[in-house]
Amino acid sequence: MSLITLSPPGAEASDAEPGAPVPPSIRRAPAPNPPDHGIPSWHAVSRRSVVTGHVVLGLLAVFTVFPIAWMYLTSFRPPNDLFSSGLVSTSVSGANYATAVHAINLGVLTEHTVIVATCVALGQLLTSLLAAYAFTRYRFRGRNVLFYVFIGSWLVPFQVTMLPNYVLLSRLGLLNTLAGIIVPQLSSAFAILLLRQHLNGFPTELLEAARAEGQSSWATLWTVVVPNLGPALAALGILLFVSSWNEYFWPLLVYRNPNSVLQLGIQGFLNSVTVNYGALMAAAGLATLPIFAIYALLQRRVVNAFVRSGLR
Amino acid sequence: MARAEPYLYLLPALLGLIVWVYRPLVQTFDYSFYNWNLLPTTPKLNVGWSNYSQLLHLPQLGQVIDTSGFFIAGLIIFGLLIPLLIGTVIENVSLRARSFYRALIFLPVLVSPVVTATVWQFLLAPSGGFVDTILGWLGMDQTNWLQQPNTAKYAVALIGGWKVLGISVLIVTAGLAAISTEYYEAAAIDGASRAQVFRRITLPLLSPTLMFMFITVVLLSSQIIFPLLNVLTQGGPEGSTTDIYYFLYSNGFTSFNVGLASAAAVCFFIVFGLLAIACVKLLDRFSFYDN
Repeated sequence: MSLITLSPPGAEASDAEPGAPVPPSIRRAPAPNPPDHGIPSWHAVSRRSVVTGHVVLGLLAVFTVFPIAWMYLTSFRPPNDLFSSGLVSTSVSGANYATAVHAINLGVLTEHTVIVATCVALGQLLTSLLAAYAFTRYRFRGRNVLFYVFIGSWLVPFQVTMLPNYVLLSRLGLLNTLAGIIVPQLSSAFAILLLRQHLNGFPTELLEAARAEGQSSWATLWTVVVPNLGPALAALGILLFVSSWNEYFWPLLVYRNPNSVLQLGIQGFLNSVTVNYGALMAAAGLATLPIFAIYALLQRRVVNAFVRSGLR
Repeated sequence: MARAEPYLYLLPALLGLIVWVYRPLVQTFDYSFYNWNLLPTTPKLNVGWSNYSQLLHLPQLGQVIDTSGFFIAGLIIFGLLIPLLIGTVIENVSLRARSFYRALIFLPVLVSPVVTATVWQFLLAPSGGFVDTILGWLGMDQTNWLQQPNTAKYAVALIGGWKVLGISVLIVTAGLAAISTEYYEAAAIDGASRAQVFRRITLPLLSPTLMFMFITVVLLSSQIIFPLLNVLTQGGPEGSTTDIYYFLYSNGFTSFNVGLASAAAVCFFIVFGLLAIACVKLLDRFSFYDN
């Protein structure tokens, strides 16, 4: 194994997404009468360990979910009783949302964020698809070297390159523009590696058949490869969209004012002289809502894509 | 024409990486030999190696490295140790409960770093914030968690941990699920205890996953922590949360000391690069594969 393994080992083997039926290859215990709870038969699970399991997982779930729940609960409280009437309030109000929408120009910020996330996701998908296709279809001079050039970029932290990039953006006149956020993010080693993994498993007979029919490589890409790669492309696209939606570093570098994308708008709101936490929670909640909606709709795909990608 | 085809397909992605990763990497090396304040109108002054010697004599250098180490250690607890612990108990509950918990544990992954920082600042807010109110009920002193040098580091590590815990648990449990059941069945036949099974089967077979998590935590910790620092503490109070990358950022964009920031970037890039190579070598040597 070398640097090539940038996605967590085991992630490929396990498509055991939540809710998905476990593939037979990794299903534990071929018990004669299949247990409805999927408990492996090689060790008897005592009642006590089941309880321990629920307690540990329950505590963990509370730790992970509570801050998000608290954000939404707070956002619906009347603005004036936030710190005065204790932790719980019985009255519900939408006033924080009204304040938030006006305070940070939420409409414009959302529009900007949608543009950036869509362009980055589609752009990265396209450049990565082309590159991954080149690596799997062809044997060419410099193939390995070029592959390491792609992987190596993964090791260069953003902070090491930010000053020269800032200078270049300013020379190109891209500071304080959406293009300044989009253009530098149009290629990513990570997406190429992930698509290459998928393409490596692509049946070569299909490519050979297209070649035998005299189809050009370009036509083959769009009529044979892409239609068969649908789920993988969709999963990667979602992942890229979500990452780009949440991206903080490039907008921070490009924009010097909070009137840019949602993430910077929220930061500007947070760092204002007197923090209006109620409205802030409303703004943060609204900025996260589209992502939660995508998750609710496409849960399995989203989780699987993220688990494959590791911590990035 | 056909010979040029693969290169044409590679061109767009390659161009992006050259312009936005490799060109600036080389330029950072170049900047590290100059004194410059980022303004196009001021001339760059070649100062040789003096940025490097200045860097090595900085009084805060030790603290900055310590802080980075602290954050890495904190993220290893949340990204490696706790997930391993949870991985061992997740088998105890039914499949349906498992996917329910996983769906919940995954949620923080979707929350942006800025929103994460915002929500936690509210939870940790002094006088009236959730954490302080609870501590007040328990009769404990109220603390301004993010504004005190002795607590801010821990608060930031906790928030960073919240962000990585969910995805790490999912990666580790995916790794566990990929281990073939035959080993466990054989161990059960041989009458192995649970501790033995964990030490002799689970741990070695999970080692590629664990090493992977270790490498990414070490390499990405600063990038995971950075937005939290920039939103919440700006490296303070009293520099107590300034880690390596925040140090680079503030030298470049707050003090406009491009030469020093670049020299630091070069040094840390080399150190982290060597670290990454060492980790990958370790991964090769100590990982046990189930072929």
